[in-house]
Amino acid sequence: MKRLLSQPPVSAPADQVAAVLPHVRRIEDFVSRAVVSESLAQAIAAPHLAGPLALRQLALDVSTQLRPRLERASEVYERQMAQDTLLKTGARLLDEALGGGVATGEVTELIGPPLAGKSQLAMAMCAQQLASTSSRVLFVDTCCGFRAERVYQMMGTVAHKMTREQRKERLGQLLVRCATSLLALLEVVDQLSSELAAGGGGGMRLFVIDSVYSALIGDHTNISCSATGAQVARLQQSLRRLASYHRLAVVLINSAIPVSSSRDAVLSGSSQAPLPQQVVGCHQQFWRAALGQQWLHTADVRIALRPDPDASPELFPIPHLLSIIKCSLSERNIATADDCISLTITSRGVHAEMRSTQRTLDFRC
Amino acid sequence: MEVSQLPLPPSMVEMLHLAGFSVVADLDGISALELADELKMSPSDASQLLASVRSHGLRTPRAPPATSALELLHDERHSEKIVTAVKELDDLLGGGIPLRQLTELVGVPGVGKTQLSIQLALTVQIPRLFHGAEGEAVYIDTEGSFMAERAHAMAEALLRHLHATAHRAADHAQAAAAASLRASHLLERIHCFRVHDAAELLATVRSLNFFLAERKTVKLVVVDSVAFHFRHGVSDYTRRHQMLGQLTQALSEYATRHSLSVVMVNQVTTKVNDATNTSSIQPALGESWAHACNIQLVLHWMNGTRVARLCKGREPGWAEYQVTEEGVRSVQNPTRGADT
Amino acid sequence: MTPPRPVPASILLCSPAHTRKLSLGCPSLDRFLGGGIDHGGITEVAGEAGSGKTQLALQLMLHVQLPHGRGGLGGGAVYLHSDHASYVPALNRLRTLAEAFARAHAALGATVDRLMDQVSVVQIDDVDTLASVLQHDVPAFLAEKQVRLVVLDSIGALFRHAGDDAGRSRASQQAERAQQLFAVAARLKSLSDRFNVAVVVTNQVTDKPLSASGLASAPAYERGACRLADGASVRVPALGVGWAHCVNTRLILTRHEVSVPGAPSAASPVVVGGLGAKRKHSSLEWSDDVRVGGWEESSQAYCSPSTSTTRTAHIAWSPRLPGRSMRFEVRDDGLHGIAS
Repeated sequence: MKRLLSQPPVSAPADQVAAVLPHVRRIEDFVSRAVVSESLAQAIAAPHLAGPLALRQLALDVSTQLRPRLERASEVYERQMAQDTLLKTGARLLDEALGGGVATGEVTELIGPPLAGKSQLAMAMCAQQLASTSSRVLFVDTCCGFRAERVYQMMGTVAHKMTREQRKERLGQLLVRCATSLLALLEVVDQLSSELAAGGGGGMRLFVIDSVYSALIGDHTNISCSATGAQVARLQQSLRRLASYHRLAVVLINSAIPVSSSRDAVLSGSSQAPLPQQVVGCHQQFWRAALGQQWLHTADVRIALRPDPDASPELFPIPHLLSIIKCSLSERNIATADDCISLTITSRGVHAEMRSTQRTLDFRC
Repeated sequence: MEVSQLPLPPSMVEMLHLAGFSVVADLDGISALELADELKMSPSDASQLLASVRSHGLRTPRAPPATSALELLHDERHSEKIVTAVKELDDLLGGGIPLRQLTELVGVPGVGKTQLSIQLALTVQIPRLFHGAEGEAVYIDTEGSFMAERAHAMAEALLRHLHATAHRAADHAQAAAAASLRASHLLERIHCFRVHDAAELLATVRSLNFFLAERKTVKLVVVDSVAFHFRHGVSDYTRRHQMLGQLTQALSEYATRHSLSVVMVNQVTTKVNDATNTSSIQPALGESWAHACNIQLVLHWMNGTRVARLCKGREPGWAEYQVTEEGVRSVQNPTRGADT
Repeated sequence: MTPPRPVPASILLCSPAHTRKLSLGCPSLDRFLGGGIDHGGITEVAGEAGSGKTQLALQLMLHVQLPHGRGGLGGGAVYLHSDHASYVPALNRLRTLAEAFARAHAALGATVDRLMDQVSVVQIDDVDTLASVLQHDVPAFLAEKQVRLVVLDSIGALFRHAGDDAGRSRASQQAERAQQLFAVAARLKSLSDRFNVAVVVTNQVTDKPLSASGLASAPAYERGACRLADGASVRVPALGVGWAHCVNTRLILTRHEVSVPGAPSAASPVVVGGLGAKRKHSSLEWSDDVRVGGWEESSQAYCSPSTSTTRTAHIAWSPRLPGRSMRFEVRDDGLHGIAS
């Protein structure tokens, strides 16, 4: 983005551009997908408007300016090092396992069956981020699961020095949007990317979607075959672009669905039976991430969560097991190849501890 | 809006792109025959495509604007709760069933799911003066288990309770409010839908959109039960899954947009594990359904008394309750667990 | 298809389906059932052979013909009968009952022939027949005739023997059976709602082993009345928890042989036989969540003068009544409650 900011405004005659595209002021405005494709296409297709030739020139200019250029790897690396930070999750051990935290510029996916603590972990990340900086956080709620009270409570633990008013003020920096369908979710992502492109966003570093699965639940069974597939692919692309282009930490929550055999399981462990009194036999269950094979390419880091199969269902706080199943940096993988992190969720927040386990994870998926 | 955003097969999107249609607006005003000619496809396909464009493309669903968590915190703290009338359970839930959330009630037959649902349809109407939501209720009855007679008896018990409360507090305003209510008024504000199959259930939930827009005071939607019609008739697993998804999607949208509470009753099923030859009782509708709700209340029997166990949504715990002539109530000497 | 319209509960309160009850003809049993059998929804009567469930069904088919003021519903009955062996005996018993009934209600013009005319009988051989009869014949018949009661006797017999197809896995058979069971329930409920008929379904019972944790989570009625003498199992209605969800009201009839003091007691704790003694299969299998229940006819004990039979009716659950029990006896003119 910096590269573009230094460029002069569009080269076509300003009055003509203003006549056709009143909201285009700078090159950045073209970054927003809507302008490039929709408005410009309309404008060029409207010959009765002044200077179609100039507009064609304009389109050409824009594409030239937006064209990626060859850069030295060292430059890219340094720029990224300067830009990127690691956002703490709030659980120290998990941060260590992740090499310091959730990286900006990456897509991190939390996967788990119901009651695995996915939303809790995501809200803990929000609380941590709000407590440490005053930058904005966007939380997209697709299943009515967001609890401001819970984030506020967790902030109290993380930032015990903050006064209530300060905490509330920071809470005002956490924006929550509802999107119950795939199209609504796409719209939210598009809007965010145009807002960030226009220099807005209030220094946003963290973007959470809880959960992608719920937004797709109405039509997600069609993913592989057709139309929805195209939209899901677009969402996937938008999210990746959002992360790398605007150096955001994108945190997605995805559900795990049970599979019959361990062959295509991504994480194993017994499902926590919701009727603890009535369970006659405890059975091993295997899970895999929902949304299919294609979706697996979305995330750079994938964290799997599930209720601890060895814990008594009567136990509170319920221990959860956490493991990192994909990581962009190899050093982060090593720490957790055989070990699980036991994650405890209490009213105060999330707490992680190391746990050696016999249950190694199945990486096949 | 781009053509690629339309719910069309990729091959068709590609055809549109090749023919120069990249945004939906390009398709505006074109006839099916013209389109068929442009895309070299049959006119019937073209008209189908246009129909899909009209239904999806030309109206982008507006996602509601962002709300800050601070506002939400305020809403959460000050919005009304729907009391269950079991004090211990209300405590666990932080005051009652919250608005803007999906709550699942699951349990064995006869444990009191319907009883609690009917009661919630009444307690949602508790006047503001008594710190209630003062809303109306929609009751979608799939099993034929809603009994108006029973609801009437519970309504009268609720009114007696309100009178007693007002009397104890010596609050004239409350007393006047309680005196102005009749059991028949309470029943008038429960809107019952009787549905006979899964398709009807889905159609009803979709048409609720209009009903809720008309009746802004509805604060509770009960679906009793979600499971029943999905356990027969819809034999195609994928189809069932999709319909359930659409159902939850619609309901969670209503929950946020109209800030109401959705209570969904689920049945249980016996899951046999062939390998170990053991069986256990689990909520019906499978694991993927379990994601749908924000709060899960499991009703079951424990040592001869009924117990409501909060499994998801807040700190887990359980509370004993009983079903009496008045409705669902606390037991006399409650033992309560925080699962410690 | 138009989605169902909302009806306020206050309107439902005035509809016969929500208020009228079908009397059993015995004041104390009617009191026990809060007026009688519900007009809407499915009422299940489950019990071991000889507990009086068929007797109760037959009795209802006569009482339903009485006018509203007299405890009836003013219409005929349809009897869907599944057990070949007891078909003729059942009709004989109906005739015997009708004779007593005609004598008692002669003032209303009741004659045996008129009573018998109002009862239509269908013999059901298997699940598929049941499905098609419920789909085609019964609705057509109900649309034409003034019928207020549909009795299915017994669903347990039909489904316990259904689909023993050696070629397929146990799980897939079970899944199909469950689908069929839910479909039957949905159709019966839909009939009840559309044609304003009461539905009574009889069911068999089965023995279920009870582990320590199972005992803790067992409903109150299972812990009490249904618990067998060995303490390690309960006798519960067949077809598992899935079917149980379909039932709006569940009545369980039990019978116990009580040894007369001073006389040597019978060896077997529970004796099967009695009224219209039916030959039972020695091994009945319903593999939902129950073990195979073994039955033995012990005619010796039945004939033995040293024992007397006590029969008890239990309300396992009902949308409007608390769980409770009452002793009853079977006389020539039907079931009669014994006030304790």
